Amino acid sequence: MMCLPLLCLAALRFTSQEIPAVYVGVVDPLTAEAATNFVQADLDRDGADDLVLAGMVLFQEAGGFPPERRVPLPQPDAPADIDVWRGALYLRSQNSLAIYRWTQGGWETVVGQPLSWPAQPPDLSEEKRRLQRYLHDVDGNGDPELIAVDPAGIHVFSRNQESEVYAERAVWRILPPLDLVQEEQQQLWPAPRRRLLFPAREMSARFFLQANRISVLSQDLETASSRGYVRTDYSVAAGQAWELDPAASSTQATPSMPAFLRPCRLNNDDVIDYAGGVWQESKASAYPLPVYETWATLDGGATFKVVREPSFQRLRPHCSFLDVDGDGDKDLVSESATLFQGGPREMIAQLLTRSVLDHVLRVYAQESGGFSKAPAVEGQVRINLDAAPYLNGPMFQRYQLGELINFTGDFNGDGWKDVVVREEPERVRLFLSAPGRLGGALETTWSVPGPADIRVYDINHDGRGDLLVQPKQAQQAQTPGSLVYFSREEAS
Amino acid sequence: MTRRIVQAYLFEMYKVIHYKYSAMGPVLVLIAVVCAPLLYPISKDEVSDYGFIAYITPVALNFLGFLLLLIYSAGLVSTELASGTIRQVLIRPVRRHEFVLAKLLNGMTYALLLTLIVGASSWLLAWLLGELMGVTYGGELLFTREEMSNAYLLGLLLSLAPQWAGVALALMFSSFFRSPMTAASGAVGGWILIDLVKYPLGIERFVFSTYLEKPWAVFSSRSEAIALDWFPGVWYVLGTSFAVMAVCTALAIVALQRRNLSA
Repeated sequence: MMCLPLLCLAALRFTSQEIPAVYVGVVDPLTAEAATNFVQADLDRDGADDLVLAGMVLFQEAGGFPPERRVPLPQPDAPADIDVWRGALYLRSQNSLAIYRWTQGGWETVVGQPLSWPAQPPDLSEEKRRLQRYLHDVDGNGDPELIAVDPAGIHVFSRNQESEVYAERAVWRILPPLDLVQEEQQQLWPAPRRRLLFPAREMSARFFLQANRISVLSQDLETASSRGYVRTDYSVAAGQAWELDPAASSTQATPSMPAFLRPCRLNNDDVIDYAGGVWQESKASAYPLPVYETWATLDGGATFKVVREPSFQRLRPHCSFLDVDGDGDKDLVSESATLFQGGPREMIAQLLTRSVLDHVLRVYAQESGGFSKAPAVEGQVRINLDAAPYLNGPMFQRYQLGELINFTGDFNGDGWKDVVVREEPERVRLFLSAPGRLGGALETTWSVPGPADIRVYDINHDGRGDLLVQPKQAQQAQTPGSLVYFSREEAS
Repeated sequence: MTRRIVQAYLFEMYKVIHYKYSAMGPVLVLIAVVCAPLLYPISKDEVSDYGFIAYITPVALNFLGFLLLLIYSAGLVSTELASGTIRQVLIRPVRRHEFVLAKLLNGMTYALLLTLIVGASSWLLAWLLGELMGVTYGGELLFTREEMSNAYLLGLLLSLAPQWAGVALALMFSSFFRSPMTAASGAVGGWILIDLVKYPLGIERFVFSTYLEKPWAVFSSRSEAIALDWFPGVWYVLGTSFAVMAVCTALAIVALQRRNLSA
C-alpha cells in the first residue's frame, strides 16, 4: 500500500496517496457539490464506500485505495450507462441490461437480459461506459426501478417479482409539450440565397421522484429578464399498475422571478427553493464598482433574501450556498475583499501596489425559515497574489475563478466547514472553523506543485474532507493521478 | 498655558479671516459639490439619493479637500518663517510650543470648516434635487432615514481624525522648511510617497492615510444596500490618526525650538 504517513499533528493526521484517473471538478455555487468522474458505493460490502469509475473500481481498504485493489469493470458489448444500487452494478445499453455483484474476487452476473431502451440522443463520446443515474426506488420496496426520459414522457421499467426480469411498465406522459424554437428570420429572397431551416422544437423541464410521488417543474412566463415556474405533483397509484393518480395531482405556480434564479434545494422541506447571483454596477461609487448580488427565496418566490457585496468584475464566487454549520440547511455565503472597504482612493492604491488580498467570507445562517439579517459567522483569509491585481497575474486569475479558496470540506468531522486556502502558488493551508468563526485556526500547511489544481472532497466517504492535488486537465487520459491527502481521526 | 494657547489661536483666527486667500479652499470644495450633479444626476424619482452624497463626500473632502488642507497647513509656520513675522509673534507672551499648538488648532479648524461645508452642501443638494428616504432592496427596508443620517454624522465626526493627522503632518513639514513651497511639496509628496510604499512594505495598517476614506465606508455601503460594520475600522482610524498627530506635533515643536529665528 502506498499510504505514507505525512503529518501527525495534535488535532488531525493526514496520509497521502496517489490515485489514478480520479477527477473532482469545481464546486457548483448553488449546490455546493463538485462534479466528479466517479460514484461512491460499497461494492464489496465491507462497510466502506469504493470508487466506481467508468472503467474500473477502486476498492477501499483501511481508508485508502491500494493499487492491488483496482479492478476493471465488466466489459459490455455495446456502449453502456453505469449505475449502482446497494452494492450491485447496473450496466444498461440500448438493448440489454446486465447486473453484476462483486463476489469472491470476481464479477458475478446476477441478471443479463434484453431490454429495449427508449431512443436516446447519439452519444458523441468514444467511451463505451459512462456513469449515469437512472435507478430510483419509486415504489419504496427496496428494489430499484429504471427510469428513462424521452420526448414522449418518463418510462418506468420495473422487475417482475416472479421472473426477476425488468420490463417496461408505464410511460408517464407528464412532461410539457414541445414548443417551436424561435429562429431568426429566414431569408427567402433572392432565391440563390434562400435557406430554410426545419422548424426545431424544444422543451425544458425537471422532474424529481420522492417516495411514490413524481413532480415536474417547468418554466412559465419566460422573458429575457424574468420567468416563473410551474410545479405539478403526481402520485403513483398503489400496486403494480404503475399508473399516475390524476385525482391526486396538484399544481403550484410561482410568481415571476428574476431570470438568473435557478431551482434548488436549500433545506429539507417540501418547497422548491430558488437561488442565484447576478452582477450589478454600484451607483454610489465614484467609479463603476461591480457589486455581486446573491438572491435566495425559501418560500417559492414570495420573499427574497438579497445580499450585496462589492467584488471584482470577473470573480466567480466559490460557493454561495453551503451548510456551513452542519445543521442540515444550506446557509448563504457572501464573498468579498477588504480591498473594497477603504474607499475609492485606497482601493486604487491597493490595486496598483498591493500584492496581498484579504478575502472576506460572511455566512448568513438559515434559521426559522429564512436567513439571518446580519452575518452569523465571518471569516477572513489572506492570499499572496505574487503581483498587484492590475497586472492580472496567474494567481489573480485563479482567484477570480474561485480556485484559491475552498470551504466545502469538514476535515475534523465537527460539522463545521473548514477553510482551505491556496495562500501562495505552492502553499496550501487549512484553517479549522468553530462555532462563530469560519476558518481562523491554522491547522496545517501543504506544499503543492504550482500548476496543480486543489480540490476538497470526501473521497473515502468517512465524513471528513480530503484534499486532492490534481494535475491540470486531470479528467483527460494519460495524465498522472491525483495526490489525495486523507484526513484521519484525531491522534491521541 | 491654556489661556495663552487660546489667545494665540484667536489671533490666528483673526489673521485667517482677514487673509484673502483663506476662503479659496472652502470655495473650491463647495464648487466641487455644486458641480457634482453634472457627473451624478439626481432627481425626485422616489429613489433615495444617498449614493450622491456617498459619491461626492470622499471626492470633495478626502481628495481635493485633503490636498487643500495639506497645502494650507504646510504654510502655517513656514510663511511666518519666510517673512520673519514669527519674531514679532514670539515677542508676545507666547512660547514656541504654544505657537505650534495654536497653529495646529488653526489647521484643525480649517479641516472642520471644509468638512462642514462638504457635508451641509451635499445633503442640501440631495434634499433639493433628489430624495432622502430609507434604503430598500428586494422589497425590504434595510436602513431607515435616521440610520442613514446617523451613519453620515458619525462618519463626519470620525473623518476629522485623519484630517487632523494630515494637519499635524503638514505642520511638521512647515516647521522643517522656511519656504512655504518646499513645505507644501514635502507634505503632499510625503503623503503620496507613503501611499505608494505602504503596501509593498506591509505597513499600511499603521499609516493614517489608509483610513482617510474609511469613515464614509459604512454610509457608502449602506447607500448601496450593503451592510458593513463600524468596528474594528473605527479603532484603526482613531489610533493611527492620534498617533500621527502626537508624533508630528512633537517633531514640529522640537524643530521650531531648535531653529535659530534670527538667521
